[in-house]
Amino acid sequence: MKTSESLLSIGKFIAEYSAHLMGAGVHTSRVVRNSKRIGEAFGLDVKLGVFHKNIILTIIDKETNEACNEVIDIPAHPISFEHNSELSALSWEALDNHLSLEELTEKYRKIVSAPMIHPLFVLLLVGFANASFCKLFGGDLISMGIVFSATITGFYLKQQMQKKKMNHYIVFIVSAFVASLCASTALIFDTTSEIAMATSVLYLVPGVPLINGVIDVVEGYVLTGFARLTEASLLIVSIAIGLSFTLLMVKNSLI
Amino acid sequence: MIALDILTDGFFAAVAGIGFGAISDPPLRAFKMIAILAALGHACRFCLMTYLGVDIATASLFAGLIIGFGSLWLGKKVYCPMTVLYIPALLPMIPGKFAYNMVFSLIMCLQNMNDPEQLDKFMGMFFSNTLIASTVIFMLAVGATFPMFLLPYRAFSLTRH
Amino acid sequence: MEIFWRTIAYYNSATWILQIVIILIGIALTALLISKPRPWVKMAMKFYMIGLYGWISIIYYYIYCEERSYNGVMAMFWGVMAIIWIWDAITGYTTFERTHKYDILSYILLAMPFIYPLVSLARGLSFPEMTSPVMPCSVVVFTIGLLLLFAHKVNMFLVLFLCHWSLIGLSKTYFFQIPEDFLLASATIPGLYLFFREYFLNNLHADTKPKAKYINWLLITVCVGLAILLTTTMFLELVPKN
Repeated sequence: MKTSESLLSIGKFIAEYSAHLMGAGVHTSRVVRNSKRIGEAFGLDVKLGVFHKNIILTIIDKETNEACNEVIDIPAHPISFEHNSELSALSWEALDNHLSLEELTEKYRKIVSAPMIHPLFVLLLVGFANASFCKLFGGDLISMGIVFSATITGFYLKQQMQKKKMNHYIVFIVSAFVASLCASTALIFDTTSEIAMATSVLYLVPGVPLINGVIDVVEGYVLTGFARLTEASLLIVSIAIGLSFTLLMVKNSLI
Repeated sequence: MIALDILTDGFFAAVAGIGFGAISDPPLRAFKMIAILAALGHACRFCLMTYLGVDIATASLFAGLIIGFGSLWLGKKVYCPMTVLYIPALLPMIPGKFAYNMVFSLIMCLQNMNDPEQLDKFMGMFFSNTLIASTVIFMLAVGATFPMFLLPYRAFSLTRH
Repeated sequence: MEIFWRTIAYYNSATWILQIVIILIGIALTALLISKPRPWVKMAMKFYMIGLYGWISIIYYYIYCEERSYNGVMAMFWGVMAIIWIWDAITGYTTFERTHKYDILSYILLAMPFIYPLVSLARGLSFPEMTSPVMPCSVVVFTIGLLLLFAHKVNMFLVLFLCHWSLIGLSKTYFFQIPEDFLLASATIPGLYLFFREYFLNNLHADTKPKAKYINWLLITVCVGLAILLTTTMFLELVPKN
């Protein structure tokens, strides 16, 4: 038997847990499954309504039929696969090992406060990634070098602007413009400059919301799926705007 | 020569997969698997398109399927959900060239409003590129997600220790 | 290739008086900044930078290099850098706080704009068809040298732009045969490494993901890779073409 206080605190924990998962870029069905699993570990029935910005949930004690409601805002959190897998593992651990709420909360805090991947590490890796992307599209060595450096410049700007919590769309437009401007300097050489320009902005493509959106739609969470797809396509439009500033400058040479 | 082509293609796809994965902060143990999956998927699409003449959408569907089943199998080894492995592995296959042509032809469309012949040409270019780009992305996502529907129990308990 | 040198000759013969004025102001401000770094000197330096980058963007690229293709892109590129300096002057991001760690390298870099035309002369070129100290590449070297003297807090975004420029310089030597640009490219690689280390790795905490040594290794790998690229290009350049 549980007292009503512990029902309330479990409810609060599950609400925070599910909102954090949604914020970290997990597709909806996994959020729902994980939250229900934690509820099950405590002998509770969890029902969630997931929206793009909020989660509404009701927790019902199966024995006493007591219920508790929670509405929580989904925090803006950078996408983190690490949180995705660790928190999913935590939900299984809760079910298999019958963790108490204190243990569970402590483990949750530990996972959430672990350091994110280092920005410099990401910066260099993204540079390499975009350069090899350029190679995959048939670019030569010089365009690869230019794409590498253009990507690093653009991505550094993106990291700095995101740190300052600027508007997403502005961040995307400006970084796409800067990256493609840097890449367009490839035009003065006899090289595959068009491929260089095309690939220089691809590090911005919001792949996670795009694919999560398709997964959500296919799995029946059409509402959140379309919300994600809309968000992703707005970001893609922003990239296109940034790229088109550069294209307008050099278009005469590309026809 | 053919083997070398396939290997270089796989290698660069692996580097691209690792880099794009790094943006989304994956667990460090997942990097190796992401690299393997990205290389496998892209090399498979490359072979299908270059040597068997399959079109890009179908080839992407098959590559997506391979990545999906691969992530189901490898995910159990590193205790990662499928999406953690397959989203970064799919990213090198995003049809960037078509997306770029989409933007480019849209701009040219707007620049040539008064020239019907040019307008038609760029309009056609815009629609074909948009269609291909979005179909390929959809096919990739569906292909990779399919194993989740086929084997739901295994897919949902990958992170169970 | 011919257009390249013709525009340079045109630029030099038309603006050499103004170039001398710019150089003198630059020397005076740098000397003041090193000896008496007062707030107004720092501000004046930023305004000088805005003016210098604007000069390269508008006077050099937009007006005198009109004959070259894609001069608009280059003008825009330098325009963006001038905007970065304007932003810097408004927010006061670069503090110009003296660090003494990299003095030798930075003095070499500061001398580079004057060595640059000397190399041209040594190659048998003559005025006005030669490189001069107020040209994009020498401005880049000058800026990197100056920032290294005051590496305490630098605007990394600007540094990345400068590095991109020197990378282009590297490819330019390959395509247009301007060996002077090697000075630039070879100078920026150690500069880049030092800036990155200063910026990212100085305030590392005990637990980062991945471990700090791996990040440092990756950084060193990138710089070594650039260095290898540089030496190969240089080697290809020095080997007589058949």
